[in-house]
Amino acid sequence: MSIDYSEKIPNNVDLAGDRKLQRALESWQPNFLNWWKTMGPAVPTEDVYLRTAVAVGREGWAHFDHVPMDEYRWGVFLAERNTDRRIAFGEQKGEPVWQQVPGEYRADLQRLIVIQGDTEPASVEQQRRLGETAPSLYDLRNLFQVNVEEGRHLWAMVYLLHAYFGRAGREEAEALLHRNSGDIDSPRILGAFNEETPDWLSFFMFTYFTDRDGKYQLGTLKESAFDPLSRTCEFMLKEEAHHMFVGTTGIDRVVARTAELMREHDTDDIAPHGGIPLDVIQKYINFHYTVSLDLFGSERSTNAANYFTAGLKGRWQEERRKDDHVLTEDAAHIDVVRDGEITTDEVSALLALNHDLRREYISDCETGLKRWNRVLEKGGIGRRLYLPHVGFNREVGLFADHHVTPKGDLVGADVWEANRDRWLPSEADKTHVRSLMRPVYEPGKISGWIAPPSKGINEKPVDYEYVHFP
Amino acid sequence: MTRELDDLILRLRANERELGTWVIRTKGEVEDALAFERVIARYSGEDWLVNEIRHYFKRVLKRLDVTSRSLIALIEPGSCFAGALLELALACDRQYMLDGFLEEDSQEGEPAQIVLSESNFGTFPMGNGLSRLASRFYGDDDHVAKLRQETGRRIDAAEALELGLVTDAPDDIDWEDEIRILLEERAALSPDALTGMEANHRFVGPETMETRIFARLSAWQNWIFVRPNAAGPDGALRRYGTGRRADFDRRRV
Repeated sequence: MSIDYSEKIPNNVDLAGDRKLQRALESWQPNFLNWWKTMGPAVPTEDVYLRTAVAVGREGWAHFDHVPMDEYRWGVFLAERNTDRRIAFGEQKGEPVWQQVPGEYRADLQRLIVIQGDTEPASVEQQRRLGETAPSLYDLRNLFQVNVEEGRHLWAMVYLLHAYFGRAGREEAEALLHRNSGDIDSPRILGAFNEETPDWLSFFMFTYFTDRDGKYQLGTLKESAFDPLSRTCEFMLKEEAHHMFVGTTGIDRVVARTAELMREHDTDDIAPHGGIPLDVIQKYINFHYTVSLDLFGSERSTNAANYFTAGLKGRWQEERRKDDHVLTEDAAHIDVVRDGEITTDEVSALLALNHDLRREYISDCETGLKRWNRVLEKGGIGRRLYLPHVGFNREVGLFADHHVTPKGDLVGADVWEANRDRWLPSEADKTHVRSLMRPVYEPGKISGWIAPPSKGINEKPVDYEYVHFP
Repeated sequence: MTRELDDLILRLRANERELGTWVIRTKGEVEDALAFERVIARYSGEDWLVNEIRHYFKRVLKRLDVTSRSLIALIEPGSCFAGALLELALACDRQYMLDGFLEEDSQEGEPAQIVLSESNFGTFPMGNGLSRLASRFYGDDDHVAKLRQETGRRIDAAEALELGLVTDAPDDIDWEDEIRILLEERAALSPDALTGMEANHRFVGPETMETRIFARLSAWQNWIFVRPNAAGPDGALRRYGTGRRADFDRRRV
């Protein structure tokens, strides 16, 4: 299915034939552009080598070219419709999917879409100043690619709000532009999206761990019985893959450079040599991984159960699972803290759906760790990186009231506080990482704390001029 | 009209117990409605037939007040919710008034309008002894007094919303979806809980002998909680927190 670029707002949802949608989106667009100008990337550029979605089919969906960023063609694209699609789970399993919002679920669906939508512009805001310290033009280009696509994901959610939720939806769409990351009066909805992304190590960690949460959330919404939501998320997942690529390969390159410096200087303390010590990388992993775990919500959740039963939000790869997809008779185990010990409880499988999704996420995260440890191994370094225990540093869910070490030991508040700086990035660590953040804007050159990428974007060489400055 | 409406109410109440939501519309000339009302007012008290008609309409409105169904008034172009007929809308739990015209409609004539008249200020009291407006704005006599000054003129959707006379006034862009979703939303809730909520919203303030028997006290929370829709094995209370949805008996009581 192709996207109509002759339109003011590129789309494949027949915007031209939908007067209602036109009116709503066209009045929202100037506000979006205004938001992009004030809250989007702070570094002025002439144009950037960007990927733009041009079709939603399997083949050749994207087009690459130098584009001035505020002329990026944000638009509304849904994956192709499967006219035979049926609800795959919950009470209404087997019935045709919904093309309209059932009144019964209006409030819940709207909430789910608003929460998802709120994260998209939030990350653009969090990453606003990063361009000022990009380690290379290649990385700068990737940052901007992530930013414009998060912007488009905002469009995707706003489309749903405008097209299906009436006046309330339009009000929510406006509010998405009015809340701002870290704003004291009107912050973004989820905690992780009010954290700063002050340096590039944080950015890579964010795109690896936090965007990966996004992938899993989108994956559950892709299963939704509300077909337009499902199709929207399916297409977003395609773009999201690149964001995680940026994170995975970004950390690859940091680890590779760290290993190189360690070998070169025969020491773990490579900070004086302009590198990021392995301990600091581990602490960054500890932090970003755990705040991302919080995004999955409580392990035991009635909301998640209700969403599943109603058909609003499925499980990761719902249709590939071999069970009854109704889950009323199934049980699951979740971690709990009882009598000073971490143990497990059996609960109804319906109530443990957040836990189920988080488990999928964790095993996906582990593949990154394996990758980075291979880099260390190849670099001749004996030490390894790891994921901390799920109970470590949690503010949401069953571990929120407990202090757990990265190894998974239950400790008192005093022990935890005393070791905090050993486990999480300390002020000194952050200051050091920040001190390394100096921009390198010369094509083919790269900052000293990170290894160069193995190849460029879209078959272009690494020293290609990905970004032009005015 | 009164007789037909009375008949319809009783038929639906007795025979169509699963029809939990009634949508009330009117169609006709606002002027005719008001002219008819003037005849009633002119001969009220001196002509027995006119008296009977007035009391009959009063009783039919009271029937609506104590009907355990969700009542929704749709006020659209070509409707005649004026004076006594506006009471039909005021007896409803929600009133939706179209702001402007629907695109597919002819767009001729006037957009939806309502008219307040003397009839809305005590001619047809509810079981609690108050007019429907006085019930709606209970404890806010100033607002009722203000509304009284608005009698006789045509009030459009935006103004009706501002005056608190309608629940919402969507325009053509939202109308269809809002109405569909609203109706579906209501239909999904527990019929008993709706009966209780609606009775409580309809009857405010003072209790009279009549309301003690027929109005909100007959649908008090203790009644809702012991009903199978709440306390039964598939009821809302038993299913709460399990992630499973309650299975309701849709028949209204």
